[in-house]
Amino acid sequence: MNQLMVLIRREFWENRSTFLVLPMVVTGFFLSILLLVAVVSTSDTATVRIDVDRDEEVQFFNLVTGHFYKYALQQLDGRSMEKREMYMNAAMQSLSLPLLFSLWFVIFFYLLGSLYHDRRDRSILFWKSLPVSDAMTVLSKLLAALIVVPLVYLAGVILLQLCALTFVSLSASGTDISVVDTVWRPAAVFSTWSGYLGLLLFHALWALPFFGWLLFVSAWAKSAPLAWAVGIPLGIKIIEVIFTDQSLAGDWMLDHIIPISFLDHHHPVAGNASSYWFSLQMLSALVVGGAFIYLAIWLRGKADEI
Amino acid sequence: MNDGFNVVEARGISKKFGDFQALSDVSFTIEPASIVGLIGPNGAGKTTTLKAILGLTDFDGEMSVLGRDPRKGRHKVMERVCFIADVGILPRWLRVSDALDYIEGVHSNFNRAKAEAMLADTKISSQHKVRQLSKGMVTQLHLALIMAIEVDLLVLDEPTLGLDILYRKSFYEKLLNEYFDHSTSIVISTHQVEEIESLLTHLLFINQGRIMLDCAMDELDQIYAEVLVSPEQLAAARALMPIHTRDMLGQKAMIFEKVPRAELTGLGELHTPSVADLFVARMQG
Repeated sequence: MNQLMVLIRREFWENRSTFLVLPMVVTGFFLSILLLVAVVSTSDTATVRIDVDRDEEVQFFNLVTGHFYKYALQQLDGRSMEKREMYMNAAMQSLSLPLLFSLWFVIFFYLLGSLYHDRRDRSILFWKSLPVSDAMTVLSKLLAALIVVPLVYLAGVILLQLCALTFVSLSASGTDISVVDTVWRPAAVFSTWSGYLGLLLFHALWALPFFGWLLFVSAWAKSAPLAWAVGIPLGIKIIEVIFTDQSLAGDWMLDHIIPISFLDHHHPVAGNASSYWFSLQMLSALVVGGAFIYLAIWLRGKADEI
Repeated sequence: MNDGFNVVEARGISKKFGDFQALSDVSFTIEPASIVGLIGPNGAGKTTTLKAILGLTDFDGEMSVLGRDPRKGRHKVMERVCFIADVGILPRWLRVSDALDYIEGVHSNFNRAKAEAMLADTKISSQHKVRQLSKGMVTQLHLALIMAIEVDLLVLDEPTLGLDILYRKSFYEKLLNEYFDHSTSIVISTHQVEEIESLLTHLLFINQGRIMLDCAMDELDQIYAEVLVSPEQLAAARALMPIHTRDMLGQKAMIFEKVPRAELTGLGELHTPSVADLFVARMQG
């Protein structure tokens, strides 16, 4: 267990820029936008101008709404609880998208390189000269990608959402609008956040064939892992469409890369996934994903510098 | 810790890379508390042999390292074996303090204080990353890390390749004075024989994937003899089948294998050949 923790820390040393710096930059960027909106929109009509040619001022956009957060608060105040929940959910999810979008790419490229780069730069000879089993090595990379790194990104999401909610709440000062009823209760932060955790775990298992495939290609490819990782599934899909006029394998693969069908803005995030937990398709995902991971471990055992 | 059995037992090791036969039917033994020089030209199979010992490559044949097959339990073998390759296997992004943390975390026999004490003697700071270090410093770092691990076998694959003479000297001095305590065995591969000749207790010559010589250093003078043959004795010397003959200042220097010294004394000046000369004789013969 102690060894596993050290191995996961190792992954953070190697991938500091994408595991820690990137989520901090993205979070910081959107935090500053939230803050900027709060500052800029304190006057009743704020206009953001940019000076393009020094002599000509171009109006960039005009916040005719006056106080942005106050406007949002008033809009919520006038709606039914059901509508409030819907708007809040949409707003919360919009805030989460940039981070979750980056996360997907980070995991993709991380897994694809995780068992490849050290064969390229020969450092595999160093790592393999220490008493760490190949299974433990692969497991540490999988856990980093599917659990630990997503938690870091999720922390950014939570911070952004908390700040946005706080700004809206602050704009209620001086009014008799109840912040709890109009903002915090419809936002349902705890069930939203636990929903993220549930979805995270669900996606880790549901997309295990995809993650396992990336690890397998990473352990197997002697060059251009990206071309193999994308090319082979694409080839299968094309061959399938040409010869069978169907897209069963193709659809199955796509469904286990990004389960778009679960993204539904009108419901709490994890709500849609629940019916798939104990499905045949989940079982197939675990079997295929497990097989790829097993192969990746086996290949790692044979792996040498390339 | 060896419980009487040999540190390494290799029997009939063969390895092919495509059409290239890297090792063919290689057998050798490494005894406890020995320093073995694995000597051969570039491409002879030295690295492949060492990788086979370490379980870093697949091969045919039987291999037992500290009683285990390294192909099956590499990570178990590595609890008692350490490895330094020629420069450049430490990842460039690794920070020195993180390297210490990592090895401390995964290796139960690592003595962190010892590694830190060794690093204190160098210009390497714990905040340095490997990419900021010179070739020689990377080797110093790797040596400091490895020497702080208590093991039964240390495998060194051309450890001083590309280093200048100062680093090379201090590398072997440190190794011999601070590390070798007669309970650990060391295998060193190199193609620069002279540099390690005085360290060794055993010689293994390898060429084109075959073992050309397997001999204990203290048996060398019983098996091999070099004679500076005077011109009038040439015919008599040739009759004793020298394994190698070379010209030396108008005389012939001949190396004989398993010819009793009594038979050679009359032929000229007699001595034990240097490892380098023996190596040349074996490679050309």
